[in-house]
Amino acid sequence: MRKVLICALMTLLSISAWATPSGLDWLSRMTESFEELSYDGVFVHQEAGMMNSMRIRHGLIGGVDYESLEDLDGQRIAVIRADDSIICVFPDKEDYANGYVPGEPFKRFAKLDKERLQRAYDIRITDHSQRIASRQAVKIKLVPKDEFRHGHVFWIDKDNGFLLKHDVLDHDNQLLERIQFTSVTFAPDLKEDDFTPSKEAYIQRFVEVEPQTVKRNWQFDWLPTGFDLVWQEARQMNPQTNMMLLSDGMSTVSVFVEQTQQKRPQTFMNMGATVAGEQSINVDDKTYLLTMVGEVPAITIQRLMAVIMPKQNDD
Amino acid sequence: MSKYSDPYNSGAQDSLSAFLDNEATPADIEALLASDMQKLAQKVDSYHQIHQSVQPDSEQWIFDSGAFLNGLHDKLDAGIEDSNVLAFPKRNAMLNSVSPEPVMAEQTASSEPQVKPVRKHYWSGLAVAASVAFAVVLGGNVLLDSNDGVATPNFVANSNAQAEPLATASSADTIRLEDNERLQNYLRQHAQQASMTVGQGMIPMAKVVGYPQGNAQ
Repeated sequence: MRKVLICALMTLLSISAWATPSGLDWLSRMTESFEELSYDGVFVHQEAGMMNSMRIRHGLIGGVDYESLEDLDGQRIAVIRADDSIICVFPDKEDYANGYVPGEPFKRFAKLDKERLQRAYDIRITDHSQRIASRQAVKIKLVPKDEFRHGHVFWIDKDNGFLLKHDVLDHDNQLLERIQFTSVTFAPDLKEDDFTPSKEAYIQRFVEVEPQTVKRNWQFDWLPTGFDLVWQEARQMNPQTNMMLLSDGMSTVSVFVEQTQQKRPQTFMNMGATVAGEQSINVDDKTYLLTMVGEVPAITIQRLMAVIMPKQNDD
Repeated sequence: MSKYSDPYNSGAQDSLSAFLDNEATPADIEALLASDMQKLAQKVDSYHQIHQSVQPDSEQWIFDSGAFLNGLHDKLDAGIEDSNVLAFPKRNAMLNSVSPEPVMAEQTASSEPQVKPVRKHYWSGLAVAASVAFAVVLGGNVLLDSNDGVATPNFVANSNAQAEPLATASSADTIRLEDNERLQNYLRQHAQQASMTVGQGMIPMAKVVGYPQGNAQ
């Protein structure tokens, strides 16, 4: 009898554990929801004292995957994706200057790297009963394990895993950046017309160009825990500039290296959670300009700039 | 005491009144740039109600935060040659956040250069109306020598590369506007890649689509 009870208890516990998703499970669900759900929502993006409202839509219409992001406050610029084609919509040609040329479409979202995230953050569910945009939400905190990344708080829809609110916090828990939905509907009745720019608008069309992969000539002698190169090789942006990408599964740092004639001192800039640093370095008789951009503390960019070096031949 | 220390106090009300009356000084502009847009919108409404009560036939106002910011930036740019206009003063606090630990910040405080008030710089190129306002936070490699226990191999010793001398605060303060286009392009590339890496759909693109267009060229 006792064995039966123990077995029953174990079964109940295992069912309970399976039925109660962890913070990581919620984050994983959130990542999937952006691809799987159809939605039409308005969110506010706040960063560095600026605030902007934007509309985001996503839906599968006639076998075509549509997605759009529209600026509601400023100059009504929108980016529309239809499968692998990108359309940038400007109110009129005057607003189109040097050209906004997306390098790639947005559909190939990486899956959540749970192992890497756990190395870099303590992930906790802190509240099961939050309410955002009239939706019930679970609050998930990502507390960084070191000073080389920011903290994150996510409010995730309890019903479908959709991201309703996201705060980025600095080391002192000060808010750096926030996105928050004010309204969102799921399974909206979206039509092709919803992703068709008006005739008066100025449109730039772009079709995916496979990024050119080139040999990576640079390496890092140190990386913050959890960070790694997303691509083993580099991407060529133009004949002079190569790009590398680092990520810890939540934060990313882009590294741009270009040959230059001009020497530059080390300079840092920031806006909200985003920090950019640049510096020129000399390698033999050549000068290169390093530019790093990422949603990380300045110290991370600074350290990375100190440890990047030409790749050794035996690597 | 600067208005920055309390950007939501009544000083912002005075600055807002001055701005709406086209009498804003650089100090008013900087106070407004450091203020919360939602609270400013409320203040504009109340200002308008007062205005309506005095002049019932006056023009209807609608608060557009984008247009409002553009106006601020226009005035800021107009005055930037004449005064040491500050913008986004909270960025001065960056020194704290870049310090690995508060204790270490105290230990290294004496060796850190003085941080000058930051001046606003645009990442223009204005591709997507996205002249993103970055602030130069500090010049100089103030942290590389901090002894925080993290191994940071000496760059020069491990390679045949040599970094340029470190910037001084003044050189960081004069980032060249012709670099803005390059930086903006990098920011876009970064946002795009982030959108594919962090699993939040197009939301990371918001920062390059939505910000008001600056005027710096």
